[in-house]
Amino acid sequence: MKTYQVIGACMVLLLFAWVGVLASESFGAEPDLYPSSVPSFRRDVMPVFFRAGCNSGTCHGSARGKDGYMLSLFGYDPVGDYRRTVEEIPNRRINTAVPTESLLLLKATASVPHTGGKLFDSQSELYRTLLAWIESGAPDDLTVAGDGTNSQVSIPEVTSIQFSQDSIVFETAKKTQALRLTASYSDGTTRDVTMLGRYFSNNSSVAEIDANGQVTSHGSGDTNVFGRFNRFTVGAEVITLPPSEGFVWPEPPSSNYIDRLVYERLEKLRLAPSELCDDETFLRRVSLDLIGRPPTESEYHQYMDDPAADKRTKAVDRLLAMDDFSDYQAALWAEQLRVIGGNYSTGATVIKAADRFANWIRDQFRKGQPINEFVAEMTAASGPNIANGPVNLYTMLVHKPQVDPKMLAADYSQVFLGVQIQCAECHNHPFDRWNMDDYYGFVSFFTGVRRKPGVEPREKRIYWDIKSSPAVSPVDGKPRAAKLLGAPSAIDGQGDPRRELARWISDPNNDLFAKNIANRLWAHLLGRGVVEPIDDVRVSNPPTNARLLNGLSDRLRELRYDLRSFVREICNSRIYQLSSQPNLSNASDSRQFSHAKLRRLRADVLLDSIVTVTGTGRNLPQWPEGTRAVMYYPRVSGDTEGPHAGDPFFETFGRSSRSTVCACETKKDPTLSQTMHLVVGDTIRDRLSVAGLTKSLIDQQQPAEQILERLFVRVLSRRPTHQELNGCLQMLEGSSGNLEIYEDILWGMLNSTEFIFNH
Amino acid sequence: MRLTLWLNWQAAFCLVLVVWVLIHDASEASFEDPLNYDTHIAGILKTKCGVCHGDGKQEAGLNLASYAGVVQGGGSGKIVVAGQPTQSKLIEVVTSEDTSIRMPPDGDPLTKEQIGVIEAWISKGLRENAGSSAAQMRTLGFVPQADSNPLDPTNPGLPGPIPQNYPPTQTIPTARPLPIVALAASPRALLIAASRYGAIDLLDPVSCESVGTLGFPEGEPLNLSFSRSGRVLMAAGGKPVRSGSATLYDVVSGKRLASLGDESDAILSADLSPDERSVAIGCTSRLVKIHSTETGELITTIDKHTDWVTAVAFSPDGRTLATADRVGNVYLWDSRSGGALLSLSAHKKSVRSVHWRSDSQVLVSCGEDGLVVWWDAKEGWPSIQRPEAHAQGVLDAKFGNGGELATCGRDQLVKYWSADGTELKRFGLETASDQIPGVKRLPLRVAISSDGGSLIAGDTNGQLHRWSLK
Repeated sequence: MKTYQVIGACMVLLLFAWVGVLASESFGAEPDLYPSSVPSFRRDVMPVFFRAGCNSGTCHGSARGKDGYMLSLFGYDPVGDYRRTVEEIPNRRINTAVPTESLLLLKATASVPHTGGKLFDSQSELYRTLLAWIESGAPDDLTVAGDGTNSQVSIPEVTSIQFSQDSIVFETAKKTQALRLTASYSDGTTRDVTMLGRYFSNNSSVAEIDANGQVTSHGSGDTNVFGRFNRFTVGAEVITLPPSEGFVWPEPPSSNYIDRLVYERLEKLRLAPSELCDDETFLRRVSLDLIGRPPTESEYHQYMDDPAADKRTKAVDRLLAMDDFSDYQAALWAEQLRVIGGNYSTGATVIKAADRFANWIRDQFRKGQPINEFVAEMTAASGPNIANGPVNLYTMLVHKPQVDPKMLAADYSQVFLGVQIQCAECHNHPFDRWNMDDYYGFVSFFTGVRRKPGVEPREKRIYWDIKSSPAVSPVDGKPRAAKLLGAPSAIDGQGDPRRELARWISDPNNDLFAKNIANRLWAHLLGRGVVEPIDDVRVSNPPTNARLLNGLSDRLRELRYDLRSFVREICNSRIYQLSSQPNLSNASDSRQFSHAKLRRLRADVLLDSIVTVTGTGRNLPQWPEGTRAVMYYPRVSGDTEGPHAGDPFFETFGRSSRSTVCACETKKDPTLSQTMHLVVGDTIRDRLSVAGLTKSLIDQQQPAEQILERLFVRVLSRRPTHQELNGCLQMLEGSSGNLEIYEDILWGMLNSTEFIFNH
Repeated sequence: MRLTLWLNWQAAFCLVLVVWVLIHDASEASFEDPLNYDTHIAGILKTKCGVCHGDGKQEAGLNLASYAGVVQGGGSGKIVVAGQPTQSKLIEVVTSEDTSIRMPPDGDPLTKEQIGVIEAWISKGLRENAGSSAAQMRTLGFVPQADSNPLDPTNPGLPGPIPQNYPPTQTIPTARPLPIVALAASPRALLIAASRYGAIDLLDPVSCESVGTLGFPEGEPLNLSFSRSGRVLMAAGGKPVRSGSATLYDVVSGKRLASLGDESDAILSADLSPDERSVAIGCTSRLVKIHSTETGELITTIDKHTDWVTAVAFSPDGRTLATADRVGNVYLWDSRSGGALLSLSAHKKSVRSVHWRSDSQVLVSCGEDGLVVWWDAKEGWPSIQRPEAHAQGVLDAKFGNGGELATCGRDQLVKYWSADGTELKRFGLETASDQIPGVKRLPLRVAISSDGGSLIAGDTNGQLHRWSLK
C-alpha cells in the first residue's frame, strides 16, 4: 500500500475510535433529573419549589403565603399544594393552553414583576422540569380507576437522603471538596438530587458549602455541613486542620473509656489536651460539682494530707456516698420539672403536692433508683397528687389550669429525650426527621390525661379518660393514634397509652433517652454537653464527638442507669481532671474538652458556697432556717405559672425561674447587678466576720500568716502564694490584731473571680 | 461657461437631494400627512431619547414615550408650548451649544432636519395624530343604544341579533384548548359566547356549533357579557400580570366597536351597563373602575375592596352595580355615582360570580365556600341560602331569563334550580376519551339560553356540554 493510503486508513480508524468514545461517554453520562417521561408533581415539581425557595418560610411557604398564593412550608402538604397551584384559580398559575404563559414560569423567571425576584432563567433544568410538566397537562400523581374515580398516589416516596461522604478533612484553608446528595425511594431506587438540595454550614468560619454542594475550607476547627431534600436533613462532618508543624501528640495516659474516646478526637483535630489540674483545684472542683459547695477546712486537710496514690478516686467515692450528692441531683431534676408550690394558683401546684413531689424525687435518688425507672414511674403515674408523689409530673410540668396535651408532649420530649418536637406542630420539622404525623402521634399519649378534685382540699387526682380521642392533625383533620417517636406505626392496645410510653422510655434500646441522660450528666460535670444546647438534639445540631456520646450512653445502659456508677467514671477520667489552663494548640477549643471549662457557679451553689465558707446562714422565704439554696424551690401565694426566682439573689444571679422547661432558663451571663450586689450588697457585707472566727483567732493571738492561711483554705480551698501572703502582711503592717483589714481581705477573696467560678 | 458650471452644480445638488430623499428613513418626515406626533415625532423621540426618558426610566420625571408624556412634561415643568417653539424647553436643550445642557448627553445630537421637524410640529399646534386637530377631545366612536324593552321569557323576540358573515379571523394554535373561563348567553337571541385563546366563539346553544369567531388579540377573554338588547358583546381580559382591556363588538357584523381600559393585569371581572354607556372593570389592583364607552374616560373608581375584585354585574334596570372580591365581600353601589348602597355578608371565601335576576330584585352570589345565596337586593338580606350547593366550592351561578338558576362546582356537577331554590336537576360531565389521569375536569362556567331550553357548561378541558331543559 502507498503511504498516503496507510495514513488515510489510520485517520479513519482514529475517527471511528473517537466517535465510539463520545458515544460511550453519553451512555454512561449522569442520569437526567427526571428520567420518567412525564414529570411527576411530587417527584419532580415539588423539589423545584423547594430548591428555588418558593415554599420557604419567607416566601410562599409562610403561614398565609404571599399575595394570595400559599404553598405548604417545604412541602408538607402535597395534596393542598397541587390544588392551590393548579385548581385554585383556573388557568392562571398554570396555563395548559399556552404553557409558557403560566404565571408560575413568568414570575419565577422575572419576565413579569415578581417580588421574590428572579429565581432561575428559561435555560435552567428547573424551568424545563416545570414546563415539561405543564405541557403534559399538569397532572397530579393519581391513578384513575376504571370507574373514573381518582385513587391513591402512585409515586414512590423519599425514605432517606445521603451525602457521598460523611466526613471531610482539609489539611489547609481554601481547599474544596464536592459533595453529592442522593435520595433513596420507597421502591428501592436512588436518585442524584445534588442540584435539587439546599445546603448550609453550622460554622462558616471553619467551612462553607455552596448551592451545588461544594465545600470550601476556611479557618481551622471542626463543624458540620448539611444538605436538605424533601423533608430530610443529612449532615457531613468537616474538619479543617491546624498546621501540623510543631504539633506532637503528647501520648497522655488514659484512665478509662472516656479518655480514649476524647483523645481519639483530639488527636485527629491536632489539639493536645492540657495538663492535669493540681490537687487543690481538683478537690474544690469535684466538691462543687458533686455536692454543690466547696470543701470545708477539715475536708481539705484530710485530702491534702493523704499520701495515697488513689486519693482522688477516694475523694470521689466519699462525695458520692453523701446524701448531699443525691439531694443535689434530685434538686436539679426538680428544677427541670418546674417544681413550684402555690396554694392559690389556678393549676394544681398546691404547696403540699410540690413538697410531696420534691421529697419523692429526693428519696428515689437517695436510694439509688435507676434513672430510667425513675422516669418510667412518673410517666405511668395516676392518682391524687398530695398522696402520690410521682403523679405530679402531670401537675408540675405544665402549670396551666387544664392539662394541655400539646405542651405536655413537647415538654416531655424536651426534658426526657432532649428533642424539641414542637416545630412539627404546624409543618414538618425543617431540620430534623420529625414530621407532623410524629408530632400528633406523640401528643396522643397525653390527650386523655385529666384532672379532677382529689381527697384533700386543693388536691387533684390525675387519671386517664378512656373516652378521650387522639390528637387530630390539621392537614387532613383526621386523628393520629398514639405513636412513639420514630416508630413506624401506632401502638397496639387500648386503655392508658402512657404505660407503653413508660415502657419505651425506660427500655435499654431507647437511644434517644440514654443519650439525653448521659449528655445532661456530662454537661453538668464538664460545663458543656457533647450536644449543646442539651435540650435541642436534632440532625442539624450533632454531637461534637459522636463516638464519645455513643460510648457514654452505652456505658450508662451497661450500668443499668445507676447514677453513682456513671458519675464516678466521669469524675475518675483524666479528661474531667484537666486543668483549665489552655496550651498553645488548644487555646481556641471550646467544644472538644481539651481543657477544663471556666464555669461561673450556679446562683444557688454560689449562695451555698458563701454560706459555707463564712459560716453564716441565709434565710430563704417560706422555708425553715438552714435550708440549703440548692434544695429551695419557690413557695408562692398566687399563680405559679409565671417566672418565679423566689429570692432577689437568685434572680440577680440567673437561677432558673422555672417558667419553662428550657435548660436555658439557668443563666450564667455576667451582669452589672451581679457585680454591684457582690461588691456592696448585704450577702457578703453581712458575712465578713466569718461568724466570729477571725476575731477568735485574733484573740488567741495566732500569727498573721496562720490566720491568713486558714482564711485562704477556708474560702478559696488553697494555700496563699508567697506574693499574696506578702501583700496581705504588708496591709496588716505587722499588727495581727486588725479585724477590719482581715474583713477587707475576706471581701477581696469573696469578690474574686476565683471564688465565683469553678475552675 | 459659468452658467453651465452653475447648472451642473444645481443638477448635482438636485440629484443629491433626490437620492437623499429616497434613502431617507421612511419613518421620518413624509410630508404628506400634516405634521403630527404619531407619524413624525414619536420615532425621533423614541430613538434619540427613549433610553433615559421612556417607559423604563424617566430621568427628571420625563417620559417621552407617549404623546401625553410629552405634553405633560417632567420634573422641571412643561417642555413644549403649542405654537411657540422658541419658548419650548425641548427645542432649547436639543439645540444648545453648551455640552452640559444639550440633549442627548451622549451620542450624536439631533440633526438639523430632525430639529426642524420638531420645531414645525410645535408651531403647528402639537397635533397628536393625522386625524386630530390640535387639542381635540378623544372619542372612541361608539354610540350607545339603550334597550328598555322588558325581557319576556315567553316571547324573547327571536331570532334577535345573531352573527352574519363574520370576517375571517386568525386562530392562534395552542398546545391544548383553553379552559372555558367565560361563557355568556345572549338575552334576546339563541346565541352563546365562549372564550378561546385570543378569540371568542359564538355558538348555537342547541347544536353547540360555532356560527362565528371574533378575534381578541389582547390575550385571554376572561369575561364575556352581552348587552341587554343582545346587539353588543363585551369581552374583557388580557395577559396576566402584563396588560388588560375590554373590547365591545357588534354581534351581527363582528366589527370591533370600541376598546377601553388600560390595566396592568388581565381584567378579572367586567360588565357592560344596560344603557351601554359604561363598562365596570374589576381587577387584581383591588379597584373597580367604571369607564365611559363613548370617550373611554374613567368616570369613577371604587376602592373599598381589600382583595382582588372577582365579580362585577350591573342590574338589568341599570341602577345598581354589584361587586365581589376574593375574601367574600359583596357590595351594591349606585351605578352612576359609585356611591355605596349595601354590604352583603355571607361568604367566607372567594366569590366566584354574581348575577342578577332579570327583574333586578334578586342577586345571586356563589363562592369557594360552597355557598349559593339568593339576595333580596333591595333590603340586603339573603332570601335563600344553599350552604352545600357544591362540595369544595361553587364555580359559577347564572340566572336564566325566567328566574331559574344554573350552577356548577368543584364536585364536577352542574345543577339546575327553580326560582325558589329547589334543586330540580343535576348533571355530571361525561367521561372524556382524552382525559389525562391525575387532571381533574371541572365545569367552570354555565349559561342558560335565552329561551330557557338549553343549559350549557364549559369545562377546564375547553369543552362545552349541553343539556336540554325542556
